[in-house]
Amino acid sequence: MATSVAAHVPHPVKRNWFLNALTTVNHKDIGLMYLVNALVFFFIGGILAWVIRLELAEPGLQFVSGAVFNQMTAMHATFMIFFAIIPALIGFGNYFVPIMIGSPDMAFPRLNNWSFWLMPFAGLLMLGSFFVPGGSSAAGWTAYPPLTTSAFSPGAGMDMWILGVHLAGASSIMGAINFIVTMLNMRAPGMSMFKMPLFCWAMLVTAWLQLVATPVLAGAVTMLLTDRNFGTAFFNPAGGGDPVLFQHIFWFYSHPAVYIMILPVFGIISEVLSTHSRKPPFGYHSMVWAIIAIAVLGQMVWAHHMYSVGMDIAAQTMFMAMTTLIAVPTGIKVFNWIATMWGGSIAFNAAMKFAVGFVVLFTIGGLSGVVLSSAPVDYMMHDTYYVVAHIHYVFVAGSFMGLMAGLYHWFPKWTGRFLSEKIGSAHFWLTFIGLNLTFFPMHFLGMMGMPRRIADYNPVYADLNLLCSVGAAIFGLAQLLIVINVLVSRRRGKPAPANPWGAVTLEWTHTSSPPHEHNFTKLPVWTHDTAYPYPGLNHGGKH
Amino acid sequence: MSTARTQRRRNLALAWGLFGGALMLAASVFVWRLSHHQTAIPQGSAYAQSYHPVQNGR
Repeated sequence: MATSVAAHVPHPVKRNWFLNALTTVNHKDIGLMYLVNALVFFFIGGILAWVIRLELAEPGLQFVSGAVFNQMTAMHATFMIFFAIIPALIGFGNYFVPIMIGSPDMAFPRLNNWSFWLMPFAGLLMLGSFFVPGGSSAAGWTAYPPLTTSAFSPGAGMDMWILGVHLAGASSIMGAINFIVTMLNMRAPGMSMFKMPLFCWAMLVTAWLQLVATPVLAGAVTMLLTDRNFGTAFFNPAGGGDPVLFQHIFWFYSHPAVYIMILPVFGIISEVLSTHSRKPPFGYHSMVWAIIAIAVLGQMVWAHHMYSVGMDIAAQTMFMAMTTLIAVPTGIKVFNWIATMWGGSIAFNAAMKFAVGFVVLFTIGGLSGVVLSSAPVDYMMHDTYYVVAHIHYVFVAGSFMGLMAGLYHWFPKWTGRFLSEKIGSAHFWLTFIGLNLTFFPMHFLGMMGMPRRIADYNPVYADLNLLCSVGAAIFGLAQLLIVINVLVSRRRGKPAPANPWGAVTLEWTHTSSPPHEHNFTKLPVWTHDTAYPYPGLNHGGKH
Repeated sequence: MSTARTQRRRNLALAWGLFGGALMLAASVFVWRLSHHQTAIPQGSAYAQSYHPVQNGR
């Protein structure tokens, strides 16, 4: 057994909240600040999505001009990816990774504070770009030249976008270094790598991806910045440059970025399904190797986003094969999640509903990814709504549902109170219905040939677009429920004990709810031979 | 078990190593680009003109 049991009552230091937020080096505070930052940008990005869906509810231009519409699509994706999903996952990691590995904090607490504070300023820079002459970037979140060169995007908004990406990237790189050092060097005695919970493994591999991919993006956008402002010709054919090179470098970052946004969610889902089925995750080792395999393969498939640029057939075949191969480790994870639930004592609460919803819907997103991995199919589907449907099944049905599963699961640890199950159930069902209504018809729109990023369209697409817009209204309004649930439950929710779910990982067994400032009364020693020591279900760490 | 000071040293060494790797990756993009320089497209065409720094006021 591990040696210590925390029975501390938290002793919060009364300070001005703003001063505390500015100066805190506690990983739990910083984790929550990441989550608040993510929530704010989820709603900003969501409002932009509503503008898009409002405009597309009917053919013709009703509410915004084409130029403003382009700004909406570019900035919706930018906010959701760089300032909502990624920070939300880093927030969960910041709060729970140190506790789950038995460490009092991150390896570099001050660096952690600095990493966080770059993020809201980067977001404000992006937001500010709406108010400069010419408006924000309108060239998509992919920022391909020549559309993003000074000839076609002359305003300062594009430069602000580039600088915002630089700041968010710097934050990511510093955070990644902190996570890697923390997990490699600061685990509790006795906790070997293969005794870490799956969420920690997912965060470790994600941090590695961030560290390897983000500097490359930083290089690409720096080149773009100098092309725009200092007359260089990195991507400018007039000076011997190559715009397609930008696409290669961009996707060398941005395909791994998809995994940066989904691997931590895989970890969350493993924790939630295991805990609420009262069983260790099925196939722990295969789950770890599947995460690593997805990350390695994910770094070698970037050009599947670019089949239509005129790559040679051999390269297309190679990228196609590698992409299809990713379905194997992903399939291992999906089947292991099902096997984890099989024969378990399942508590079908809100966390579990979101986790099961994730498994079902993420699989749809994964399967449409296999369809798009085929170059001949992609020639037809490229830049259509089929791609929009696919990516939203990965990010909304995948990342977002997973984040919600984690929120309902870990909220009692943060606050010492449960979220309301009634509101949680309504939140789940409205989210489930809303998102399927919004994104499923987009598959058909894509197959019918509707291009993405257009403000007006052929009336033949009208009915399905209206359905998507109704779904978006339901989905967006449903998210007010989680805000209400959090605000009400954190003060008036049912009190939660230290380990309300009967879980076996350190954040539940060895800390109070909420944990006190340094997490543990005495640093724990891990004496189990497995990461999930369920009594009577211990398979010597080889399950 | 390592002392706090040894652990701090190990943490810093690993962090600086990772940071150095990240810097090299960022630099590699420029090296790759410079080693794949292509012939400029003919000046005077509409496409080339669209990129001309002077015409774009930069």
